[in-house]
Amino acid sequence: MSVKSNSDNRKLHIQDLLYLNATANSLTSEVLAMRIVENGEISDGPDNADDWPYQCVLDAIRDGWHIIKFPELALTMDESRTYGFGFEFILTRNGGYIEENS
Amino acid sequence: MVLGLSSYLREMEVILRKTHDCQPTLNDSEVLNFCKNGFLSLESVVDPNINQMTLDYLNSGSQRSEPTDILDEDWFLDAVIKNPQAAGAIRSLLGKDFGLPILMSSHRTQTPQSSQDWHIDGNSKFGPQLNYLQVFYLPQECTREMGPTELIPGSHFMFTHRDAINSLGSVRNSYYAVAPAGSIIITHYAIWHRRSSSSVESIRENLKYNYWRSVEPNRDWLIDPDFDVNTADYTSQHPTYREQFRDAKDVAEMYLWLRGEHDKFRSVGGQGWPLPGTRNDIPYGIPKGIN
Repeated sequence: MSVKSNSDNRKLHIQDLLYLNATANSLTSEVLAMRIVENGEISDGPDNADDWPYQCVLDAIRDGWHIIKFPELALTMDESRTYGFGFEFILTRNGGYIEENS
Repeated sequence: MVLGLSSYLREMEVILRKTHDCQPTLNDSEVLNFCKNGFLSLESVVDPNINQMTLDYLNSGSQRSEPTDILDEDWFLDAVIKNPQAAGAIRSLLGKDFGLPILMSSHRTQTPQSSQDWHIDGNSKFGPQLNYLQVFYLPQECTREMGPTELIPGSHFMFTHRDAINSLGSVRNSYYAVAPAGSIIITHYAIWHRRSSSSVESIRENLKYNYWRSVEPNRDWLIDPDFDVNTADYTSQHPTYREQFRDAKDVAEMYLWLRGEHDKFRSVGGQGWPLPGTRNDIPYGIPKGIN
């Protein structure tokens, strides 16, 4: 979505994304890994997990994030080996605006 | 299917022309810890003069991603590749007469940089077998600010496509290979890793090379008479990144493979061996013939 700003530059509404890998498919299970995309910038967050902004998926929902992808449970249905990394939730929320020269 | 060494040698036509032997330095508990983590770090095992000679060598001439000719330098071969502590650990894990590296990679990086994507190195194989090891040598100190290699403990048991884990970011309890100059880090080839983010100006040097197994696995490392395979703790540090107790099964299977007893490995399920627990007797389900 774009809108006109006073300076005749287009303002683009960009999407924020949050990747949370949890220990289980429960919204309250502990987060094992995180990556966040805000204002078009990728960040892994702090090294120390205790300092991450969300310790479970529900924390993120309560902060305005919406789930757009639930974990792929088919990956867990083979008892002979472990596939992938935990249970991946991908969330989104409305991000900010960036200006694009017209 | 798990390939034993005979299959590995026969089917792959592996011919090891450059081999080395020495005394093993790891005991049962240390071998078991390698199985759990998929890596071990030996700090400051290379002489400072050799570290400087290595840096001088790499800084001379054109800088290449594969400075393999350093392997032809006797001083480097003796002090780094055949370093007693490192070679002793390699000997413990790969057995006698292990194949020496014939390819050298340089992961020299001008920092600061953002982190690399998480990945496994191409052509990784997953399973209990350990027929080769990937090793990193740090000729200079690597601080957290310089972007050390970051590893996920136990991830060598977790099957993935090399490029399917690029969206991972910070990982709870990952291991940053912060280490003083002269350190050597021995890893399972399939360990998930990346160059971590760096925040200072530096040139971070990191050499990478592989060793190869040439004999059937056998428990010929340092035997700890108090180590009991029936009651050993096969569990990994929290979080294990896997289903509950899966870590114990993975680790026990790899440990038995290294002992040359993979054919005896089995898990009866439930609370049986190799699961942890405060029992008043040895666990049920111990495979026959191991002790």
